[in-house]
Amino acid sequence: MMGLVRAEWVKTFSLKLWWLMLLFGALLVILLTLPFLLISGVAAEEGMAELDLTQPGALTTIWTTIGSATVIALLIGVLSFTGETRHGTLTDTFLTEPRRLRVLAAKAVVAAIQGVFLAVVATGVVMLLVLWLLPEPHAPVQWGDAVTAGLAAALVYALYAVLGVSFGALVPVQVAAVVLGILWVLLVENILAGLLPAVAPYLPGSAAAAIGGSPDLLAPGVAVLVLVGYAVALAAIAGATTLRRDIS
Amino acid sequence: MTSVPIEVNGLTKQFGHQDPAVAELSFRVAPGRITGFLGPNGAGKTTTLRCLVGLMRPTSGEALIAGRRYADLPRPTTVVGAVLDVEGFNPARTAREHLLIRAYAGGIDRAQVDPMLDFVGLSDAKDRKAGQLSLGMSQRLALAVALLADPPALILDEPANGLDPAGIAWLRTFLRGLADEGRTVLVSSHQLAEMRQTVDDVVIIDRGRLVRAGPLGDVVGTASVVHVTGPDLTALVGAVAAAGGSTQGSATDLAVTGLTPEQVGHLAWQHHLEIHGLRAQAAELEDVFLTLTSDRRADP
Ligand SMILES: Nc1ncnc2c1ncn2[C@@H]1O[C@H](COP(=O)(O)OP(=O)(O)OP(=O)(O)O)[C@@H](O)[C@H]1O
Ligand SMILES: [Mg+2]
Repeated sequence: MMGLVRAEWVKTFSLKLWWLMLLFGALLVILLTLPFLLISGVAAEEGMAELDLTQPGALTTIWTTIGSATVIALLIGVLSFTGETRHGTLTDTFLTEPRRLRVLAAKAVVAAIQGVFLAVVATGVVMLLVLWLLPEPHAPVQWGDAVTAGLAAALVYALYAVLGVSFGALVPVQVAAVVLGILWVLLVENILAGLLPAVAPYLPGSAAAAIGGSPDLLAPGVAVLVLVGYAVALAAIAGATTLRRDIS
Repeated sequence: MTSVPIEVNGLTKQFGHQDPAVAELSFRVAPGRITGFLGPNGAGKTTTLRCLVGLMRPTSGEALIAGRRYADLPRPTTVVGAVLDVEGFNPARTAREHLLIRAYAGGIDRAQVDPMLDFVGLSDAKDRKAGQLSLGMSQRLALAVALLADPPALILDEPANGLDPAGIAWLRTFLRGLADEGRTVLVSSHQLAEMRQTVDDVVIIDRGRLVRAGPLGDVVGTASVVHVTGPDLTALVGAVAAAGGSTQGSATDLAVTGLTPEQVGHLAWQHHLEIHGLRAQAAELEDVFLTLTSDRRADP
């Protein structure tokens, strides 16, 4: 199993794609953080801004952007599996390890580590932005809160990346999996949450928010289990369907 | 070298509701020999090989390596090396990275990677991206991946595709060397001229069914024709038939198939026949192949 993980590691880090995904993740987090920092100072005085940075605890809202690149984490996992179907390397992969679920597990391990890296980058980026751009006057900056948010993001991204691996195995056509993944995170999930308030807290996005510390949602521990549950369920379905298919 | 036989028993593979791509196919591949797996396009060669290495699930029957299903082999790449498609490389990864991945995933010593690249003649291309390799070089890389764990059996699907004459000569020597070490080598091809010079045994299939299997000499030899001329060869027709051969032509000029020239000469002598000429015309693998697999193409 260790060998499989190392093989997946080489696969990941031999491609520029991974660095590209990190860059996208950083850009996304920057885009979501900047409005708070650039608009708040001016608009706060006119009572327009959503965020008054002079209020104690206001920065907590900014720190939540650290965990807002879930879509990138999901795609990291999706690309791990679908990249193989796309380039035909699945033949070689399954020749080397015919027990296909083990390959999926190895991919999940590496994707989780990538998720943690993504969280480290996101945390660093947001901290730097705050350091450079936080307008005066502002409440005292609690860097410890940033670290807490970063840890939560690491957990969320790791889980999302694992979820992505399972999802990629289930929808092995790369373009389809990527588009569906993005649509889900950015659109479908919100619509579903609106339509079915009862299940809303159990949707992956709400679970991620719960791990990030949002109130009125699941307890963080339960939220972790929910995300793990999705990943395992999707992997099990893939294992019984798409993953069993002939490789030609 | 441990000897690892390859066995296909009653293998059937059906895709959807089409006619089966492989139907009740059985054959055995012996260690220490190169076996050519021949058949026209769409005969089911690739399907059979993919069933052998667990990439496709047989509809029924079994395909065994060293007596086990591929998926049941512990560390299968150390038992059998397979080259199934040359395109199976990520174009952005280097030759060395592809071998490194195989080494890690297959539990193979990483120190084998560089010597193996030298062995297949890719010393100068180790750090070149797979997307920049020529087709022949990709073939060599694929062989390097398959051979990395020093497996006693090899399964190659059309390894000569894309090789230039020098490359084919290299491949032939290469495979001969591997077989001489006692390895089992199963090579599919439709490049018959090449196969004739390379293989010891042949397995010929058509439309998913076995048409002939055996040592190349036997398969080609029984297809050779012995031409006999004489004043009256009527008695020879019956004698040949009794000996298991068949005849065509007239009582003064017969074409005998299924028997060697020695057998035909002996029969003539036994029956006190006057013979004016006896000439053996050796068959080519092409002839055998076309005769055995021609039913479909003969249809207008
Ligand atoms: N994945 C698949 N789905 C459906 N049909 C398939 C599949 N793979 C192969 N076939 C069919 O099975 C038959 C045998 O194909 P196969 O590729 O095994 O032939 P082959 O002997 O390797 O031919 P070639 O010499 O052209 O490589 C063909 O009719 C082909 O169309
Ligand atoms: Mg083929």
